[in-house]
Amino acid sequence: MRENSGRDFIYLLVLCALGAMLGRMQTNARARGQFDRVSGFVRSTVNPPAEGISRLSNSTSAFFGGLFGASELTAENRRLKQLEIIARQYGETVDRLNREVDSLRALIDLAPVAGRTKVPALVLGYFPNENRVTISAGRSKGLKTGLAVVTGEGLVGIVQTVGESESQVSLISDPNRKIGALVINRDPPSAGLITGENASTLVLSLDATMPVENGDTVATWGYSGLLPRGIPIGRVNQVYNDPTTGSKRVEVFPNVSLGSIREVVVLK
Amino acid sequence: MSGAKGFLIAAVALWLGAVLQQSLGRYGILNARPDYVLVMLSCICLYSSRAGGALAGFFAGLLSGAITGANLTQYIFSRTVSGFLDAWARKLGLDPNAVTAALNSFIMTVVAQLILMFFAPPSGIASFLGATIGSAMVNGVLAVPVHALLRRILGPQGA
Repeated sequence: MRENSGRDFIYLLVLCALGAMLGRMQTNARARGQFDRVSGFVRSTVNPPAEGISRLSNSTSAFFGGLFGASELTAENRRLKQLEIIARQYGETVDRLNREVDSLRALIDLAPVAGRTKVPALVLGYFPNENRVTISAGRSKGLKTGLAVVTGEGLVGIVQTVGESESQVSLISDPNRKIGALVINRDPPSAGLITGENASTLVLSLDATMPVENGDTVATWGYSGLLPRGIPIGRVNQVYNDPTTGSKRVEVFPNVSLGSIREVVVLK
Repeated sequence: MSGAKGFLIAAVALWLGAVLQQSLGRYGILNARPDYVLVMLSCICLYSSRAGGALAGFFAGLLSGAITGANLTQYIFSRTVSGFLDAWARKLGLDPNAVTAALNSFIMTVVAQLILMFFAPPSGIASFLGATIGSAMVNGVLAVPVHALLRRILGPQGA
């Protein structure tokens, strides 16, 4: 292509303007909790092969891990089967108690307790700079925005955008997201809002009078109705008093290693 | 790189970059994660005109923004301008080889991420810059085999 300065700069401006238009479409769609059409089309062409490669790389890693740790894996498998039997019995009791709680809440016109049904999903993509992951479950599995995404260790994030068969999750490390949190070791629990700073530090803002110490456990508050109460978030790492604002800045180390998660569960 | 063949090769390379980013983007070395789409873009720009570099950058931004769910405007703008500038740098008369491909990918990653940082300031600028430098180094290494493959497909002077 022959170089022509004026024409090339106009071309650049047109492409940037087109980018701005696409960005506007995306923002409007996101306000409705959906993917815009262009992003949706791109994702539908990229995700199927990406999912295949993801599965292949996970299988390869699991295969070589299995080769070197077969005996430990067999013993662990046996132990987990026993734990599953116990958990199933415990789960039945919890379900019965939850039904009782719901019927009692219905008597006083309160909504049922959130987070009962668990939808498993694979992590398809991790984007640390954007504080997001893409998961392999969407509207077809009943997901909607605002639901909690967890692993066995604790809270991973909140469903932000829902597509037909995939969703985007805003991670707890996102500095633009605030989640109600409690320091559950204290009686009564100290409550505040937690937000992300980076992948290994979250910041909980508390009133200066609220008790908190290093090593305390921080969990979800559950006031929103979508996020269940008591999901572990992390442990208190450092507490700073700010006399000018009369508040405490509590640094929390998250329970979940966000960069290494492969499977998650969405609580709906 | 021009004509239908060049456009097709660039489109396939960027799409492959997006697939790799989505599936393997989480794996890195010492917390330095690659940006496969930028690697592909930097190699394409070595053989493109300014307008071609801008167009490749536009699609690279669209792919990156769409798969990460990030703001499309910011990604498209940063990648389009980076592609334009990178392709313009061909006027310096450097021979596209393994060393220039690595350096080009390193510089383009830094420039693209700095433009992105200007439009969407992250909360921790120091950690963002650290991650950008790490990513640029990994991209520089990855650009060597990608460039070799592209050069083999296009020939030394480009298609």
